[in-house]
Amino acid sequence: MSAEPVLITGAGCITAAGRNLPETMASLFAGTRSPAAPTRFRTDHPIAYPVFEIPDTWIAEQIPDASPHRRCADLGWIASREALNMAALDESGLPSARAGLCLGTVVGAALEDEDFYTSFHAGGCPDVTPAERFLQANPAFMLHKRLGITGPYMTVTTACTSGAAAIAQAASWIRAGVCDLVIAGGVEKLSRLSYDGFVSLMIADAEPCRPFDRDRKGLNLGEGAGVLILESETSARNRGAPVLGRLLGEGNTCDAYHLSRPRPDGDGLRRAVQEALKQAGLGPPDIAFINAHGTGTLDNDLMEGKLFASMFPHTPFHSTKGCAGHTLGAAGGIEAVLTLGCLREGRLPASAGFTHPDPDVGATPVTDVTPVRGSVALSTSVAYGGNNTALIFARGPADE
Amino acid sequence: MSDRIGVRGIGVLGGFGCGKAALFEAIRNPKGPNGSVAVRTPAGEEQVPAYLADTTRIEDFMPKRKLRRVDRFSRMVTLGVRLACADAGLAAEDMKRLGVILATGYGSNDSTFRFLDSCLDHGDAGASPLLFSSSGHSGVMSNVTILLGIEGPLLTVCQPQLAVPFAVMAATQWLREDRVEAVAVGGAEEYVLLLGYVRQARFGESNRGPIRPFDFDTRSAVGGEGAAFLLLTKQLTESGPILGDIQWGRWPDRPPSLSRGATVILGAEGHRCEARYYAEVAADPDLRCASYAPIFGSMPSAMAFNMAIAAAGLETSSLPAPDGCGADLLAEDSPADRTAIACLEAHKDGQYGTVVMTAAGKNKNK
Repeated sequence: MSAEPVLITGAGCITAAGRNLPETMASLFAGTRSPAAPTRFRTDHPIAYPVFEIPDTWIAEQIPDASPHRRCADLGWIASREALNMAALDESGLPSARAGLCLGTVVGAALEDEDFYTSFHAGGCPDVTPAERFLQANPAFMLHKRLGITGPYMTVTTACTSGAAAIAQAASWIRAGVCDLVIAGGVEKLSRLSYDGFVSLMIADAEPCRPFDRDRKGLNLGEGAGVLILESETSARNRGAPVLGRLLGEGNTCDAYHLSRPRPDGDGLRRAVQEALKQAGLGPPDIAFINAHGTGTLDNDLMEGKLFASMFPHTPFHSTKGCAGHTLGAAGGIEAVLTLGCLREGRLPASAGFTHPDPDVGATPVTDVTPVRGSVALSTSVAYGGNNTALIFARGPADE
Repeated sequence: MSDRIGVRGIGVLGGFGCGKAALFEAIRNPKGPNGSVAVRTPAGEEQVPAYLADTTRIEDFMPKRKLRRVDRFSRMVTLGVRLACADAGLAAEDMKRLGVILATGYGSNDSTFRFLDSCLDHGDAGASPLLFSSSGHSGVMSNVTILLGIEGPLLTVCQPQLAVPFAVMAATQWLREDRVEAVAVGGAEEYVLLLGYVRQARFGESNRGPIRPFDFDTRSAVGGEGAAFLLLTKQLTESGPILGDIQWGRWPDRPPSLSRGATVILGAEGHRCEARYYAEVAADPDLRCASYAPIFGSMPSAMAFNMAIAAAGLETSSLPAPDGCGADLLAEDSPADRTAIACLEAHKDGQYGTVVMTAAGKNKNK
């Protein structure tokens, strides 16, 4: 039996590809990408692995008192404002609404204040303000205070599925009647910690990343935020809100396989997709396109490509990470927003960075702007550590 | 099958020991902090009391070789989940379709700091891939699912306030949506060196306790660590408590709605910043209150321990309070409601969350 769909009445994002959803979509379709060496932190790596960094000026334009210590929450606030505006919701009305907030992140919930920790590591007794600030800067905690949200709020940390898992959790709040609307998605900032980590695993590409390409060498990290406004049908109808789309199904599973590699047979992701399809009351042929996790790493793209080839042999798919980078905890949120954007525009951008088919993968992403033939799309998220999340979206009546 | 959610198993470890029996023994005969940690101060290193968990019992459930590269926090959480499953009579092979939800305030900091150490000691290019793999809050749950073979849904909630009540709410929704037949949900914290330093710098001498949760004018919180998990299902048992309402709000606009005669476990743990809210509840003559923080210590996800205590108390109809920590909540002569216990978590900004546990007898399957 399919579950009651959850409506989407707003969407917003900020990525290195654009300071909002229209700009990011334009970059995707233009195939623009310009990853570069990080500027916000320095490392002594002999190679400057490129990243997709958001210029500080983009944040300062919208938040004059933006702070590097709460960058994740600031990025989340920018994306939320765009989404609320699209949903015709006034920020000042949130405290009296039955609203919730659910955000995924990785770095945003980690104490990674380098000056503080370096001093402590060296045997010093540093001022503990950074430790207290870390707790206060927890993304959902901070943003729920800024927005005056009185409903539930949650910071989800399931690595690279965090943003998608947060959306799935938020949908659950709507279906259970806990909230009328929820701001849901993911937020992430670049940090030396994650940069060093992915380089140490030898899965960072020294060139712009090439998801699903035969010559792919790994990922490029990115930062940003992407959020949806999920809303109950009753609330949206009563407000006369624009319905941009619907969230039809969600699936979440674990591989129980390896700390840093996905199950090669893709069984975990397959089960997550099957669960989402079941909840949506749909089958694989109903999916018009797939937004793949598509990081550009050897293992992820091999696993995902093989799964698509077997489960969705005729369904076009793409990865946006060639344009916006791998934004870790924000990826599922940003890609949910972009999936909806592609459904609404009725076209899919070429998968940036892809040139040469990989015979081992057995599936190739779209290489040109491709019309979307159908109204339903799947977005997959695969976490480092073996968590998998699948979300199924439908275009809204306004675009049909 | 009822739409009600029952507690089938309880898994706990902390400064009191490991397992339900150790928890009850500690409630009957509280001993205070079981250890100490060395903390750095400008005047030199000092030992301060702490409630520390021993994870040795994890070896009852899996061979040592599987644990070689598993960090201490992951061991705590794994053991908490496994004990809850064992208490529910769930065999290892039945854990495949389990859902698991962790609520934590601090998360997995030790593994993250050790990774940072590798960057600082050996340069960026010398960062350890092994430490990175198990770092971060998600690394813990990866370890848990791999060690226990859990392939169901997973969620980690990491935030300084109300992580536990919102995690429990998520668990009930998964069950009601029939995503899984059972969910292990709970809280865990790890007392790391840096946390000891921050606590000492912030709290000084009062970091030594002893915890006096009902002395609302004095700071007395002593840090703790451990894990507390409940195995929740829709299959109710004769003795297993039932999960009741989950609420949240903020003083003074919407204070907790505790009915007359309610029995309440306060999250009071010796912090002055939120004490006035607990004092207000404790002063209500229509309520019967207790705190169990002196059993397990002070930590952000303490409500998970209080829920485990409430569930275990309702299961056995017995729940004495430590000396000076309130009333015997389930005493036979109690005029208060002995069939339900509300667990309350309050914060300095007035935010609170409550989770109610109800005795099985009062809620047979409908």
